[in-house]
Amino acid sequence: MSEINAIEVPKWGLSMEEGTVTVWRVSEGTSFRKGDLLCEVETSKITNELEAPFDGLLRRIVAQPGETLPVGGVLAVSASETVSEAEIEEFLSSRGAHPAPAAAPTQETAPAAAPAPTAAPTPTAPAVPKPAASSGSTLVPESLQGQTSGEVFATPHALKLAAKLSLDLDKVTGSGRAGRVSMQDVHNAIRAAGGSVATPPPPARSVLPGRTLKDDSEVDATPVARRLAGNLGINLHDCRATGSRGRVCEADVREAERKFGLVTTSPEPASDAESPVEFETVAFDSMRKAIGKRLQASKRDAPHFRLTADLEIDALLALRKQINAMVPSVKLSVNDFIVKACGAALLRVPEVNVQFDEQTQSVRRYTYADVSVAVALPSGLITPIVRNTDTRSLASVSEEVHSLVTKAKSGTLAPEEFQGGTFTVSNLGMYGVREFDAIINPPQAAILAVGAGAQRPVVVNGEVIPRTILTVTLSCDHRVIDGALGASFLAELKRFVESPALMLV
Amino acid sequence: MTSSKKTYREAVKDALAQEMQRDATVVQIGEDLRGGHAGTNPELETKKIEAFGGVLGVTKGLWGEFGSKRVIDTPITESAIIGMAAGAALTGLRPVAELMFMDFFGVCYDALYNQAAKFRYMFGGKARTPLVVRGMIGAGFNAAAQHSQSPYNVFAAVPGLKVVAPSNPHDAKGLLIQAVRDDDPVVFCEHKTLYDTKGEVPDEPFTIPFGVARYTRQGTDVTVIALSAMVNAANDAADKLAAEGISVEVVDPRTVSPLDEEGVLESVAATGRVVIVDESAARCGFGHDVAALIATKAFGSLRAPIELVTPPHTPVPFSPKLENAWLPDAARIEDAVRRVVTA
Amino acid sequence: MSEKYDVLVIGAGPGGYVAAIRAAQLGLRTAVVERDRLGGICLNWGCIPTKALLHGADVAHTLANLKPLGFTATGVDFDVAALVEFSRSVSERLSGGVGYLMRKNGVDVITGSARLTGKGVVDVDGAEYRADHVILATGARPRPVPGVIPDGDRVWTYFEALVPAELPKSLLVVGSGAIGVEFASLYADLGSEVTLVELAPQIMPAEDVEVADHVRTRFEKRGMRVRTSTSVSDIDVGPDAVTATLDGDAITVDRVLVAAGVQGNVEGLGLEELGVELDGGFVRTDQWCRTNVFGLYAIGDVAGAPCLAHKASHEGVLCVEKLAGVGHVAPLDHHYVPGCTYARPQVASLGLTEAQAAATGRELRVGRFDLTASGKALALGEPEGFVKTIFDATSGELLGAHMVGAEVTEQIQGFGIARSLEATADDLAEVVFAHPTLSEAMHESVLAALGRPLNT
Repeated sequence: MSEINAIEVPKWGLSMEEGTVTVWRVSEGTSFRKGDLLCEVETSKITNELEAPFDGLLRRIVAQPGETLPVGGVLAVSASETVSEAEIEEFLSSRGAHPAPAAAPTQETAPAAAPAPTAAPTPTAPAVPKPAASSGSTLVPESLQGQTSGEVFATPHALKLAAKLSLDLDKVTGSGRAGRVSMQDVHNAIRAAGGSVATPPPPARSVLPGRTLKDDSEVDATPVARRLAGNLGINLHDCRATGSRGRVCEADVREAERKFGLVTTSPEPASDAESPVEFETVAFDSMRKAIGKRLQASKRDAPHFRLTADLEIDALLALRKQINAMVPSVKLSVNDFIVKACGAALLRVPEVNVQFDEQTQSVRRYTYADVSVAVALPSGLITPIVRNTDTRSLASVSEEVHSLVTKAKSGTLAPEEFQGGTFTVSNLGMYGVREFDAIINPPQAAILAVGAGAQRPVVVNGEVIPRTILTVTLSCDHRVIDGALGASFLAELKRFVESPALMLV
Repeated sequence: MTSSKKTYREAVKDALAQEMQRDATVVQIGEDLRGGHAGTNPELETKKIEAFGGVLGVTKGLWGEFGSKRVIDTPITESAIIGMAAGAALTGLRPVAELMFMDFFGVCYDALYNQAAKFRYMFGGKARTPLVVRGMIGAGFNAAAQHSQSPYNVFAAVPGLKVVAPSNPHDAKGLLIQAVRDDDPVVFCEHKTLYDTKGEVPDEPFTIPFGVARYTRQGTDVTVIALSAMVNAANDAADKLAAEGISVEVVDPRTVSPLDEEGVLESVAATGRVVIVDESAARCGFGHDVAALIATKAFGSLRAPIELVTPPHTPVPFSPKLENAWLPDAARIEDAVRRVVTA
Repeated sequence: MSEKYDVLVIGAGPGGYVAAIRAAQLGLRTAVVERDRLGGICLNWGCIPTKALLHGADVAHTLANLKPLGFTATGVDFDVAALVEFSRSVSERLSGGVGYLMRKNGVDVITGSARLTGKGVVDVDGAEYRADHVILATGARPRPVPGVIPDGDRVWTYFEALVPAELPKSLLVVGSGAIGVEFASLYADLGSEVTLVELAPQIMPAEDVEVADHVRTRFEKRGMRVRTSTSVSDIDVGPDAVTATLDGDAITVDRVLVAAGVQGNVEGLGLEELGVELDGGFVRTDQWCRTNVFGLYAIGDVAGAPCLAHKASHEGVLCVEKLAGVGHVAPLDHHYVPGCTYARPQVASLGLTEAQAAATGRELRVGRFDLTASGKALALGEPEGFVKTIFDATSGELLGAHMVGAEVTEQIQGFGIARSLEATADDLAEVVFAHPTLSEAMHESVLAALGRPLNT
């Protein structure tokens, strides 16, 4: 039976739209097992390993390293040895994937999903005998072709399939209750008459497929065998147990590795071409691309307006100094206070604590405040999230920010640690920036830009006195947040920042 | 074949009357079938005075047409009704017994579950039990906890019983005629909030085979599986979501037992996303059975976890507000669909 | 504005420099502060230079035992200064290697004395540095004995013992931990008359008592005087000799070496002002090397026993990986850090002593194999010593391994690997050990524990 399966760009996380292949770990012509590492795919935020969603033989790599495809795009094709190159071509064109760069094999039939419905019969290769009508690589033998006439007792999907394949259901024997024809009956009839049935590609998963199907933690195995099996993605249930006292030993895992034809190849080193000396060309990596794309879209689509406020932080600084001096395990920064104050203010003004769903033109209003904190990295920036900022203590917020910043720099953040959030704080105070405005981080609807605190003259009752002032600027998406609403959020924020003891209750 | 607009109530009565005309062995047994006066009051007999025709008047007119020998009023004794009907079925009659509210099955369950359902097996296949048990199910009628349940899941757990729960007048007629003609015990569940719903129903007798699902909406994104009154809620949700571009396929299995596995699984294979709506129970219900079927036979097709929409695990509340909150509705189905399409 | 690092390590010993390399590998901006020489005590004053001296002692021992092998050597001279120079050159070379590793990994090296002036703020000789994470790796130094004040001339610590101007005719070693025992053995081989004194009832108090007894017997056979349960008092330093009293007995020696353990370098770092909690003179840490102060960590000797270079390196890596969010970091089980003493005989051990194992209440299987039955040990001319293994009788878990004899320090890792891979007694019994090797004794010891020894 000829079976062709596509290996597709998976969807890792809600915001993932496309992926770039960085390196293939399996070469064409090698077979692989479900769970094997096939290639590495770089997304806007992470590089992840793509595990095989099924067993198969890699026949064609469609996406070469460096190529970017949308989610669901065909990365490669798996099929058994009996499937011809032409059938793979046909499969690819039916999937809308670009054909292989290699010399195109002789086209035997017009692609089933040819874009021009009015096209005349295939002008090329008229000598080839006309094969049975095809859909994908399902070939319906002539004996079954035709239009279903009259009423046939069949399942709705069997009727649909017959219409699609121009297959006469009268010629199919139903095996269901009262002779009802199911899709399985249609498939069986096609095969019985000498045709073939395309296997639908497995549905795209929204989560990474698991490495093993069955928990093998209870399988008796040597530590080496267990570790090796883990590294190779081999389930210990799949290994014979020839080791001492009935254990799976290293040799058993190696045997399974051979049996499954697992081969790993190292990536070919990039050739270092001579570069010109006048300037250095630096290609955008996917993080830069993601930043560019998202922020450009935000700036273009979200009507930004900005509200600026001066916050007096003398009381906050005094409280901070007192806490830091007295509690060894705590070191609060001014930013920790701002993040915590934002969490508290967001719950007070829940209309700002939202995500905007552009597709359905609706907002998701949250009952907890997940505040994203912008972290500068050498290669760009990332916004890890302090979850439940509203219910965390100041010390907990501080500890979380501290940990997230280091993880961001080490590249060890998990996707759930930076995807989501209902509001963002961006602080450039440590660089001495007095004030600035920030671009909203979609799907959020507002972002707070925090400058440096400094002593400035303030007029109180006609007298000029020095106060420590911090200027913050709130950028709002006017589709979601109106001016007065943004202002009321800033007022709440100011209240918490200027009376910081409120954050302790 | 001609057809006309009929209510669900009329469709049920239509089916009963036409089968009684066709087959002299079909008899009706139950409380208040003809008017709530039981026995054989000679005056009423002669004047042909009919009262209710069952609690909601479904069988009104049958006694007048077929007489006391074939439309038999009983005392308030469910065990007697089902015991008598089961015995009658063994003798070769085709009794249709009415329990009023399915909630009362507990009183007569032995006759149904351990007798009628087992006859064919206990007598080595020599006995037939062409028995139909009709009754009302469902909440939404402010009838409180003892008159509002939908225990079709309990019946369906018993091998030997066929369980039907039609969602519209057309199906009610076709399935009821099939039930009368069936040689095994059939439990026929009529949702009390459906009686006044109208639909096109063929005038002539016709049958619908058991175990054949009907797709009341065809779609490509999500499969919603619903039974009985929940089908209407599912249709409403599907129509609303269609306006947003979410294409919902609504599958009404129509019979809980036998279940149309292909009808369910083929739709799931096409959409990969499933919401099951079930009024029967928050636990061990019809929905859980279908979910298990999908998980065992179509796991590879699933793109999102299965969503179940059921009432909470409590008796049906009496307060109308609470009852409405208890009952699954189109809004809850919509929410569930959104969850599975975004998962 | 002060320099800001992600990770700043104080001390460039085997804990600190390894932590710095790992942090830099993880992409963190890292600096290490060192007031003296890169590599710390280990490279400069500890593990490495002592091994160079011990190599000389081994040669001395070989020369003294040429006869059974048919050699006669005459006119052999010994210049202790030359041996010391060799030892120093080894240290120089390795310290330079650490500098290269720092450059290669992009770790900034700051020379000077560090002092914490706030959480995440470090002053190095007047320059201020800031860091999200500060790791203390300041190590330890010899612990003084009351009444025995090192003077750098007659009364030594290991610093002086490493660079003797001349060979002492007689040496009193106070304390019999790894350092004391190694120097005692070293100087005895080079020709000094050595007296070893220990306050505890056995020498090498951390080791299994059987091992300690064996070493003591061997030392005494070599003419060393060993006294346990003995305290030292009344040190009188004269111009040409030192007089000391050992529990009432007066003894006069050329030099005294104080080697009574180490204490953490916790002073002058600003720890008290920050409220850093200490524990017996060391910094108190949790399983991830975190102190009680925000963003402050401690690894290696300054964080407490066992004060071993390899424990410091291991903690350096685990501390950094944990703070950087690397997955699958496991805490260190201090019991299973191997300990090695490079005396003659060598001692190597891992895990619980037999007494400690018995105290757990578990049913034990103890195996012992004497090197007298080892062909390789006989051929090397050192047929004394043994291998002792302790297993849990029920599970077969390896609880402890204790080895004394030729080259056992190179072999203990076999048991370390077994322990790490959770090998049981049965698993070890199935391993094929090469013949003839010293390591066969390990196998035999396991077989003995299982009650089926072959060669005894």
